[in-house]
Amino acid sequence: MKATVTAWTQILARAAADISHPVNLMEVCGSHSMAVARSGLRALLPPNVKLLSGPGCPVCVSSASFIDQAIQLSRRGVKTAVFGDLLKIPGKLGKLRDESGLLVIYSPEEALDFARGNPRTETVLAAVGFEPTAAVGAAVLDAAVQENLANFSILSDFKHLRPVLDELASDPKTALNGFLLPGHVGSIIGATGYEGLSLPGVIAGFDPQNILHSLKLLLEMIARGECSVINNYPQLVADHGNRTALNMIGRYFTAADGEWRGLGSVPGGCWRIRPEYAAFDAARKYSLESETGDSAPAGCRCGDILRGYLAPEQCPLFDTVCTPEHPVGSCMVSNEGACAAAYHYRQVAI
Amino acid sequence: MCIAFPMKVKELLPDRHGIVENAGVERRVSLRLLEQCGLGDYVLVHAGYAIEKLSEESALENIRIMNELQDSLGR
Amino acid sequence: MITLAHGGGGRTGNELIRQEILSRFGRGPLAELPDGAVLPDGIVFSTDSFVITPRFFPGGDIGKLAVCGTVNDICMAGGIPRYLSLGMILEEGFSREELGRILDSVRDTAGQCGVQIVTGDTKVVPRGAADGIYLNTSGIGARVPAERLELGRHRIQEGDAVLVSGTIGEHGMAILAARHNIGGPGVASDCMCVSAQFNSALECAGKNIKFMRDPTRGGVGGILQEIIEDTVFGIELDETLLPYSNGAKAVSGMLGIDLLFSACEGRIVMIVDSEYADAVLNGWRTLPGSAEAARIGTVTAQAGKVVLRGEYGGRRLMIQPENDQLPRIC
Repeated sequence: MKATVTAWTQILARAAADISHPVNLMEVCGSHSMAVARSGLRALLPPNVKLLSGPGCPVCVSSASFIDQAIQLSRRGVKTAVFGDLLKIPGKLGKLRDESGLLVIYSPEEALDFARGNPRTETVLAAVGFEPTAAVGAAVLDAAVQENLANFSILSDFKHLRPVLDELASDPKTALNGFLLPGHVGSIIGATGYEGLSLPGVIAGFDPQNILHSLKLLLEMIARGECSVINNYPQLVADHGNRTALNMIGRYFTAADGEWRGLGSVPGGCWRIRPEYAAFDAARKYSLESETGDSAPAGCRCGDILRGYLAPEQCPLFDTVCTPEHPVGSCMVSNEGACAAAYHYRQVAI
Repeated sequence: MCIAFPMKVKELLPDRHGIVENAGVERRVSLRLLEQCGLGDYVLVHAGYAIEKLSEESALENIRIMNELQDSLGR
Repeated sequence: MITLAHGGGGRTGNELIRQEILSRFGRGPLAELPDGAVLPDGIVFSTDSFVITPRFFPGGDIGKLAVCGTVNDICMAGGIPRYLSLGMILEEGFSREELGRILDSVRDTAGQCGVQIVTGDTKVVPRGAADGIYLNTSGIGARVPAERLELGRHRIQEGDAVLVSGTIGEHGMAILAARHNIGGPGVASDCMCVSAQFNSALECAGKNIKFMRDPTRGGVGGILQEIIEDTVFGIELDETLLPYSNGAKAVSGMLGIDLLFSACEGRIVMIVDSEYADAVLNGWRTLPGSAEAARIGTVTAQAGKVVLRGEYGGRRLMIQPENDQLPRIC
C-alpha cells in the first residue's frame, strides 16, 4: 500500500527540517521532468525547497542545424529514419514531419533492417540522446561495420551528460544544493560515473514513489552537509554500470567539445563518431555543413531555463507567445522539455 | 529522457538477440550491449536493445526499504 | 496545405474540421459533429472511411474495423444498426487473396453485429494512387424513439457521471505495436461492436443517458475534450480510476505513448445521470468486452476544462497532444 500525500509531505518536511537556508535541487532528465510534473510532486516539497528542471532533454539541447541536415538528406533521396521525438522540432528548413518518405522508428534495428533489405538505397539513422541512446547508436554502428553495410550511416548528435553536471554544480548563479540524477543514464555509466561531483546527488528511478524517496535521501544528505552519491536505483544501476555498453561507446565515439543548445559550448559535451568510421558518419559521408551558434529568437529565455536560473512559468513568453503549437525555444519544442512539461502538466486551482 | 522498460527474457535467439516479454507483450531485441544474458533474466529495454540487467537482489532490497518507509508512516 | 496531422485526433485535426467542414455544413444535423446524423423518419445515418496500415493487426483487420466503426457510430447516435454500404478503392496490383480475407472479415463481423451489407461500390486506381485498399462504410439504423432515449450535449448537467465501458487505448497500441514488431498475446486491439453494451445501458438507464461517444481518434482524452468544447461544462477525471490493461501499459511503457489519447475501437464513453451510473456499470461488467467498465469522472462547472486529479493530490489540466502520438525515445 502506498504512503499517502500527507505522509510524504511529512517525510520530506522532516528530512529538510534541519536546513535553515533555501534549497535548490535540480533534476537533469526529461523523464524526471515529466514524472515530477505529471504527478504534481513539487506540491509535496517543503516551502524552502525548490526542484528545478535542468537540461535533461536531449532533443532540447540538440541544434537546429541537426534537423536541417536530416531534412537535407531526406530531400536528397536518402531514406531517413528518425525517432518520433524529432518530428516537430523546427529547423531553418522546416520540420521533419512535413517531409515525405521518412521512416519513423521505435528501434534503430528497423533502420538497419531497411538498409539490409534495400542495399541500393542510401539509409541514414538520425538520432539524438544521452548515454543509453549513444550506447544503442554504438551497437548499431558495430553491426553496420561488421556487416560492411555500405549504404547505412548515422547522423548523430549524442550528448555526454557528465560535463554539464559539473558545470551546473559550479554555477554560482543557479546556487544548486543537490541533484536528482537520471537512473537510465546511470544504468550505463554506473554509480561511479556520477562520482566526484561537487554537490550531493541521488540516482533515482522514474516511479513517483522512488522519486519522492530519492528526494528524502537527498535532503537528508544536504542537512548533514554531506557530498556524495547515493544509488537509489540499485536494481538497474550497478556500481560500474554496463561496461560492455561503455566500451562500445568508447570504441565508436569520442567525447568532443560541442554545443548544447542554450548552454553554449561544453568541453567534452558531445559524443562524436570516431574518424576511422567516417564512412558510417552521415555528416562526413554526405559532406553536410553544420551551422554553429544558433542565435536564440528574441525574448527566448531557454538558456536561462536550462541552467535553472528561471522556471518556465517565469519566462514572459511562456503560454503567451510560446506554446507547444507555436514554440519559440527548444524547451517548449520537445515533449519533455522543461517548458513543455510545465505547460502540459500545469496544476489548476479549483 | 530515456524511455526504457523492464522486460523478462523469454527466449534466446542466435546472433545475440532474444525475445523479451512483459504482461504478454513480446519483442525481439538485441542483447549486444549485455556481457551475458540468460533465460528468465529481467532486462531494461531501450529502443529495441537490452541496456542493462535487473539485479533481482537489489530490486528486492529496494522493495524492502520502501516497505519499511511505508510502515514507519503507517502509524 | 493538408498534412497528416489534419487526419488525426489531436488539436490540428479538430481545427481542420472546424474551419473547413463546420463552416460549410455546420447548420443542421452536422452542427454538433455527432457520430451519426439523426434524421426525420426515425433514421440514423453514419459514415466512416478506413485507410489503416497494417491492414491486419492483433485483434482485428481493416474489414472488421470498417464494420464495427460504423455500427458503433450508429449506436452512439442512438440508433439500432441495420444496413451498411461498402465502398472500396483498390490499388492496381492489390492481392486478390488479401482482398478475400478482408471481405471474409467484413462478412463475419457484419453477421456478429447483426447488420447486412446491402449496397456497395468498387473502384480500382493505378499503382501508387492508393495504398493497397481504402474502405468506406455508411450505415443506416433505426432511431430509438425519443421517449426512450434523448442524446445531446444540451442534456449534460453538472454532477453527471462519466463512464467508460472498458480498458482504454488498446486499438492505438495494437496498431503501433504491429508497426514496430511488438507482438505477443498481451497486444490486441479492442475492436468490437458495442451494440450489446448500448442495449444494456438503454435497459438500465434509458433517458438518464445524456450523451455517448466512441473514443476513436484522439482516445478517451480527445473525446472528452470535444464533448465539453464550447459548453459551460468541464470534466474532472480521477487518474487512479482510468482502466488500463497490463498489456496496453507495457506497450505504452515501451513506446512512451499516453494511453489516454490512444484510440479505442470497441468502447463507449458515456455521460449519464450519476444515480444510474452503478446500474449501467453492473450491466456492462457482465458482458464480454466490458468487464473492466468504470466510472472515471464527473461533469463539473469548470467550462471547457478537463482536469485530472492525480494519485498524489493536485489537479492538472488535461492538454491534448497536437497530433497523434508516435513512439518516442526520450
